[in-house]
Amino acid sequence: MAWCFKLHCLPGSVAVCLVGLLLSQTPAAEPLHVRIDRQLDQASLGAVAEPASDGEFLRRIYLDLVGLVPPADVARAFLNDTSPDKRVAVIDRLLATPEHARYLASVFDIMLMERRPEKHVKRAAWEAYLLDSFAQNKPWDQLAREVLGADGTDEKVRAAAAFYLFRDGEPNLLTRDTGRVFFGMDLQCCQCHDHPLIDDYYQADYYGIFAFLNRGFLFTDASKEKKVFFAEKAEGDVKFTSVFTKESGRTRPRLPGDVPIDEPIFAAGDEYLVKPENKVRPVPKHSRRARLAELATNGENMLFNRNIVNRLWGHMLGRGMVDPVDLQHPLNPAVHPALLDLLATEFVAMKFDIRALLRELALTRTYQQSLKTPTSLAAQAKLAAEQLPGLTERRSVAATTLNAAREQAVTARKAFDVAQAAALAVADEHNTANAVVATSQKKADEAAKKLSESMAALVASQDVAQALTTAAEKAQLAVAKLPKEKELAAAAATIAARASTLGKEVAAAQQKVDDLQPANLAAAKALADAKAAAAEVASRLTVENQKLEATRAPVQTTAAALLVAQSGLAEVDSQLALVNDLAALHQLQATAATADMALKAMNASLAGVRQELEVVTQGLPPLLAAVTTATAKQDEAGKALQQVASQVTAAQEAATLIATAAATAEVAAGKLPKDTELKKAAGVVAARSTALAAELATLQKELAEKQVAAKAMTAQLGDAQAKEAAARQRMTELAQRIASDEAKLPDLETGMREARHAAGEREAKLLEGWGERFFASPLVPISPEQMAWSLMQVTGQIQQQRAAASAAVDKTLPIDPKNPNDPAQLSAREAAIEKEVHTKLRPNVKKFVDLFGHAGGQPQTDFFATVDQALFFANAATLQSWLNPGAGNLTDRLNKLEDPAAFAEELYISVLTRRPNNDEVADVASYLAARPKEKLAAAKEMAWALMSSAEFRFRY
Amino acid sequence: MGALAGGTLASGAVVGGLGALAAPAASQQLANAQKRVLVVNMAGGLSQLESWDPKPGTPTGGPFRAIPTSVPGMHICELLPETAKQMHHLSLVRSINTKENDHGKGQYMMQTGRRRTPAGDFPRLGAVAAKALNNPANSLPGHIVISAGGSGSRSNDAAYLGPQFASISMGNGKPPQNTDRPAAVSEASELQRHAFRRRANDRFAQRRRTAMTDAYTANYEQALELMKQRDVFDVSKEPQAELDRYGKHDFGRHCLLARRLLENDITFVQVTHSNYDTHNENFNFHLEQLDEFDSPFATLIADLADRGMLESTLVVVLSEFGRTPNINQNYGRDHWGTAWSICLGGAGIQRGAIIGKTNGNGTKVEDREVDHGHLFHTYLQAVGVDSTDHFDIDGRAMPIADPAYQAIDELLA
Repeated sequence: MAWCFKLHCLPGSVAVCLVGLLLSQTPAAEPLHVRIDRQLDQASLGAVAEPASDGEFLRRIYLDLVGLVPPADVARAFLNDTSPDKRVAVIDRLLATPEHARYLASVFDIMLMERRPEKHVKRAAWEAYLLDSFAQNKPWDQLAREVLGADGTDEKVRAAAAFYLFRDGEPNLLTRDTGRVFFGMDLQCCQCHDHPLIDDYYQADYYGIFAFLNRGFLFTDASKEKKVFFAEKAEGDVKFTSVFTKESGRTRPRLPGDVPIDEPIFAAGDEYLVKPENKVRPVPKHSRRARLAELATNGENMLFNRNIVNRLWGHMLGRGMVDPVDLQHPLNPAVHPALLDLLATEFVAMKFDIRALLRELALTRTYQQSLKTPTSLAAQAKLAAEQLPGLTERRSVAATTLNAAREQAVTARKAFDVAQAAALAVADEHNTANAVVATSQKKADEAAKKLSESMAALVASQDVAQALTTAAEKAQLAVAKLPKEKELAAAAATIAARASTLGKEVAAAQQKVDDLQPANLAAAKALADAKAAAAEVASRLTVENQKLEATRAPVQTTAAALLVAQSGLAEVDSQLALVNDLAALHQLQATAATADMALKAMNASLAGVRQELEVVTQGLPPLLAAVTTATAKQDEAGKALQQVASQVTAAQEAATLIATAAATAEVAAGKLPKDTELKKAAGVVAARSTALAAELATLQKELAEKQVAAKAMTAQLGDAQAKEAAARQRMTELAQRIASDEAKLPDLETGMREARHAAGEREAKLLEGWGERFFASPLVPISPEQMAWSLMQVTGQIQQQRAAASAAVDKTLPIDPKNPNDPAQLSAREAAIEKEVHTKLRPNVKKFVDLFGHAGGQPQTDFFATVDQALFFANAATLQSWLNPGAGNLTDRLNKLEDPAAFAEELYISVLTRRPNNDEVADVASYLAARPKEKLAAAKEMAWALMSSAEFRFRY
Repeated sequence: MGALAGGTLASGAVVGGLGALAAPAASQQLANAQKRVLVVNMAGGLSQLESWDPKPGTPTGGPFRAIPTSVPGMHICELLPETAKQMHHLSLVRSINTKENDHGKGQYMMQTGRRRTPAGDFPRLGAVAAKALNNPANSLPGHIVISAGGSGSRSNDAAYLGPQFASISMGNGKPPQNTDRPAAVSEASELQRHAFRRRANDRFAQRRRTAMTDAYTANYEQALELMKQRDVFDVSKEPQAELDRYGKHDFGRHCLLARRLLENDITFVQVTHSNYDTHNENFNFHLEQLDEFDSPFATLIADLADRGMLESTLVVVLSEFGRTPNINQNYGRDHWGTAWSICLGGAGIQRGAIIGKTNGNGTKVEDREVDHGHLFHTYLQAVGVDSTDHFDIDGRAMPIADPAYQAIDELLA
């Protein structure tokens, strides 16, 4: 449902609340541009782009205010200018130029006409009308009123009727484009049914505008030039049926967001100032078209006001706060609803002064920021998280407010609809009664005519009868005096007879008159009755209309409150969306960081494991050698042990034997004490036994040692073998771990990439949104016209034509030597020069419009790139011929420069309004170095390349 | 994209959601690979009675016989003997009632699938096909209308879809405009100036890169590609034998050019054969005109089938309307939108089908009445486009085809 957005009828409290909301408690004395920046600062949580460089600013302001890039000398001077006010100065200088008026006229032409071909009125006249309007800075309300109100009859503003006439007066087309251009609402779908996708676009909205325009028709006059007008009838009511639901509706004229208008009641036949007749242009007493012009532009229709400020904002800031600019509806709210409302309110307060608003917009920090988005949003993400609870709470309050406002609005609206239905019913009766009056009038007129005809006949016959009677009487008298005259007597008799006949005729005529009298009276009475009935219905209609009027104010008040509530919710939602985006980014970045860390940890651990495996693998050969050595040593020790053991065994045997021998010998010697020999021998044996025992002991000791040694060797071998086994075990383990970790790696890598990608995507989206929210300068394509004029500026075409025009103007408007600085004189000269240059160069623009513009009658904003554009840039004669050197133009200047750095600077300042960076200077220098004998060709090529670059194609 | 691929693309710094843009485009491209549309426009209004719906031996039938075709039971007029041999690749719709007898309005309806409305223009089938089947990798234009006077320039028939889908008009061998390098620029300089341009773009992309800057810079690369492929538009580059097969007259050349363009994956090609507006001497004119039409058209269908291209190429032979069953005093037939026929085939269209029928002497549709709206849905669905979907145009949802209509389901394979 669409609602009224009138502000004037608000009760004080609501109005105060509304104003409070719009101005957010800011002292009113502050300039608008300061308030705009503050609102955006709050919305951006402080993260806005850096200020634009001087070059960026200058290129931007030239494109936006005069429609082309600045000339090289102006750019150089500006870059060198150190005065702090130079930006304000250039804004004010450009706003005062004839080029600015010309450019705005072209921008508004495209907005209003969308490159439609001319019809019924000359395009040149329309352009002249717009140019004149912008030259005098005609306020938007006046311009719109003239355009919407024009029927082509007022010679002074006849061309203003082009809006209607170029569209052939076709009411459906006019309805769609009036909705789009003046109210920012594309209601086309609503021609046949309620909008399928947008809840608040209703078929009744479409027919509300349609009803203002459907009585219009093209009227061609009888003059020699066969002038065409957008004339209007007094008939034509609007009924419509949905092709989907088959529901029918009817409506009086109604502005988008408003209730139907009230209309004066006319008696039958009294509707026209000039009645429609063959070859006569009718003029109704009540012009719906005039009402449209008046009601749309009186400052009270918020949709009308929002539409224009949104478009002007879009013109300066590259993009509407509502985008696309003709799709204003609650599902596509402004990115900064409160700011848009502030601008709308202020623009009305500024009396719709376009130039003043453009100036304020140009002065904002927002306008003068760079395209670079903040590199890190981490700080904002943190702030966002803190804001979330508060915002959520605010949203819930705003939603409750909105619901209450909607309920009240619906109630008021229903009351209005009921009253309107009643009024429409009586209006139908009134129409019927008027029709009866008309019929009765016709009948009464006919009866009166008949009566008066027969009365005339009666009078005529009475006159003759009277004369004859007199004649008969006189004749009779004469006959009496002259009784013998028979002829006379006969004549008298004839006369008498004739008089007598006529007497009967008179009686008959009298009878006829008498017969007609009652019918006439009846018809007169019927007429009087019909008139009385019509008057009665009219008075009832007046009453119903009054009742209807009484329901109007509540609708408007509640609708205004609803609007405020909608804006309020949209504002919170917009903030919430940003904060949620930031919080989501924060989350995604954290996830990405975690994934990154997990991957890094895995890689680090893998590296550690791999290194360990390496170390263990490298440690294996010595371990193997140790085992070999230990084995050999063990072998050796075993052998030595064996040897000693057998020695011990032998020694033990010998010792046992000798000990027995010694013992036996001693016993024998004891038995034979004297046998010294025996004793001696026994002594020898004993000594030997003792020695052998000692040897044995030694051997046994050695054996014990060898045993220990062999055991040690065995232990050593065991140890070496254990170490080798352990190493091999470790290697297996490590290999397994590496395999399992490596298997996990792809998932982790994918996870990390995905997380990083998701964060990157979100950040990219957020950064793009940053531009869409005007926290950074958005990048937008330049229009075909801007492109054509900028190319002519860069290549020197304009400069050349200016020189010629200036010389011509020296002759036609020579400077008065007595008063050379007279501003009026100077501005007249400027205007004449501008006109001449424009006339000469304008034909060059068409080719660019054909290639880079949309078709006539289509929206002109969408960017598109087609191959034929690039082919035209690359190969067509146009650009190539503009690049031929001549009289101080770009390639001529470049060709004369010897120093590559100076060459590069001239090139970049001329084409891109900025100085080159070191890379770019080096690039130019190497290009030149590669073509030592072809400087001019190189200059043309590099100039072409920069003119073909994305940087030139876009305004940023 | 060459210039950009060399640029710096740190994923976080890419503004414009390029990943998001590129992915669906790529998948769409795969899904729609090779799908093409060929329209043969029989301008002026082909007589259905002398072509697809003959009524021999009836008071309205005229002098010509009906002949059998390669589809058992399907007969067409004897003026189309070669086409008759190809009918197993094609189908007929004999029950069209567009209720429109005006040339301009009839053409508009058949080309856009809707009635002209004062409040807004609709895109032509070619523009819709070029957008819906868009192949961003192809440097050649997606929508080409061949006509004898074609100048290689862009037309104005894409309405809200935007000029990038508007037709390029092609004549006899003329390539698109501005495909010659300027005389003053040598081949070496050409390479250098483009290299310098790419470097400038790469540097700017580091400051800001969006889908728009990509589209603009890629455009120059496509232009260079197109310059390399200029010969695609030059039918005289076909072998003499092919030129002979198709015939020397314009229509033969245009059919061969159409084949050449379709072979180079151009999405939509329209050939016009003119003029069938036979208010006088309908029979002599059809004899002459269809004699010229029959052989090249049949050759083209056979070639497309032989090359395996018919599976992916929709072919439609249409007019703005048919011609009256009544034969006027000048042996002519007049405008007739009430009961007429078209021929179509290839892609997702059934082969050898006949949809609907007219009564005995062809004065009205007796079965399965359809009009421009049904046909438009059918064409699109035959090449895999969901015609009940909508395009998102700058935030506006624009139905691809008129939502009040549906495709002729039984005609779709």
